[in-house]
Order: sequence, then structure tokens, then C-alpha cells
Amino acid sequence: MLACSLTAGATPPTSAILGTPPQPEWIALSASQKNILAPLEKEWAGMEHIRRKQWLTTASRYPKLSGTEQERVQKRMHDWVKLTPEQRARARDNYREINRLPDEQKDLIKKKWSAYKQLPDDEKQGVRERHKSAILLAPPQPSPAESTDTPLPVAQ
Amino acid sequence: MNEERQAYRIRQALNHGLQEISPISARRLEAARHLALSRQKQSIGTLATAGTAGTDWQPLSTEAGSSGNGLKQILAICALLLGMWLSFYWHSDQYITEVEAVDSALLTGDLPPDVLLDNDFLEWLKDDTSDE
Repeated sequence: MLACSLTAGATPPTSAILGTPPQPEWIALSASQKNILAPLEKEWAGMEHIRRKQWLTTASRYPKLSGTEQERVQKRMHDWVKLTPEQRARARDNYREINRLPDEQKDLIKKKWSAYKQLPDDEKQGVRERHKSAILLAPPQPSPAESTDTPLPVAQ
Repeated sequence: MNEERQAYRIRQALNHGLQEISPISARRLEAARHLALSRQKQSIGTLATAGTAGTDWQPLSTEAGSSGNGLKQILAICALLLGMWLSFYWHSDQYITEVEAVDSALLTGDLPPDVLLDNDFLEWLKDDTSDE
């Protein structure tokens, strides 16, 4: 069962907040840090020190990411920071839950998601309502004309 | 040496008239001496407890010791505060490391955060059963 209620970890523990030393203002960041964290520029001033430190850790790891991962980070960073603490905590919990699944099941979920996002927008809701997600991995059904022209071999 | 000689002379002068003191006066002097000694003991005891009770007045001879104790107490409090802050700092570091690792995985992973926020959709994706 996926986490569906407010999680206890929505806000950092007080001891962790108290133990975080003051973090630099936006103007004091290096050019490289500003470049990486550019989507957060507007939110930086209102951000708690503990979250600033977290993002600075992300920025320090950023150069080691692949090109695709860097692109994803840039795309998702802005939306991520706009989420409420409860939403972020729920996303983390769901991520941890999926991460605990066997590798085969994780791969299946990723393949299904990959197939689902390829669907035209007007079909997505219908697929969810009328089918199980296994349909996403099923081979394409032949059209009626094809099926009459080339009947499937019957097992002897 | 002069002080000892002076004290000896005073003692001699005081002892000089002792033979002429009447027995009644001698007993009264003895009683007065006992009373004085008993009061002296009580006052020492009172001073000792006054010092430990932290009143304004403290014996001159214990001032150095009490200031040393005060310094020790301040150092102990500083050490306690430093220990607490180090513990909080370590906790903060652990928390940030753990959360940042998950957030980085979320930001770089195949499943975007908006999918991870949609519990119904995730349950649908996780379902391995087929339509039939």
C-alpha cells in the first residue's frame, strides 16, 4: 500500500534545523552554483538554511550526473521546490516504496510508464479507466483485416 | 622572635594575678570561656552552611575556592552546550545526506515526481494482473 496520508517526515526535525549553520545568500553563491541552481533563484531568499544546504549538496554532485540526468534535474527542480513539504514527503515515501520492490517489478513499472507517456493525451485517461496497466506492455493487436488475411497458426 | 617574646610577656602578666582570683570568679571565668567556645563553634558551622547556600556573604578564606567552582560550572555548561550543538550538527548532516540522496534520485529518475505524487496511478502501474 502506497503512503497516502500526511507523513511524519514532512518537516525536518528541530534538532536538524538547529544544527544547520547559516547558509549563504544567493548573491554569495559561486557562479557555478548559481548556474546549476538557477531555477531556485526566486525561492532562495525564503528558503530555510537546512534546505539551502540540501540544494548546495545537490549542486556539488551535479557535475557527476549524466547529460540526461542533468537535463531532468533542471526541468524538475522548479516544480519540486513549489511542492508543499507534505507533497515532497509523500513523493519520497512512494519513491522509497517502489525502490524496495524487486528489480523485475521496478523495471516493469518503468516500462509501463514509458509506454503510457507515449500514448496520445486523449487516450491516456481511457486506458486507465478501461484496462489494467499490463495492456501497456501487450504487443499491438492486429487489425481485423490483417487477422483475416493472416490467421494465427493453430497449435497441433 | 620579637612577637613570641612579646606574647610570652603578656602571658606572664596575665598569669601574675591568677593566684589572687577568688574561686567564685574563677568558676565564672571558666563558665564564660565555655560559653564563648560553644558560640564560636556554632558561628563557624553557620558560616559554612551560609557559604554553601549561596548567600551574599561568604568567608574571606573560601573566596578563591568558590570562584574556582564558578569557573568550573561555566566550563561545564559550555562543554554541555558544545556537545549539544555537535550532536545537532551531526543529526542535521545525517538528515540532509539521507533526504538529498532521495531527492536527487527523484529528480534524476525515470519516474518524475508528479507520477510519484499520484497514488492511484502508481497503484495502477504496479498492478501486474491482466485484463482477462
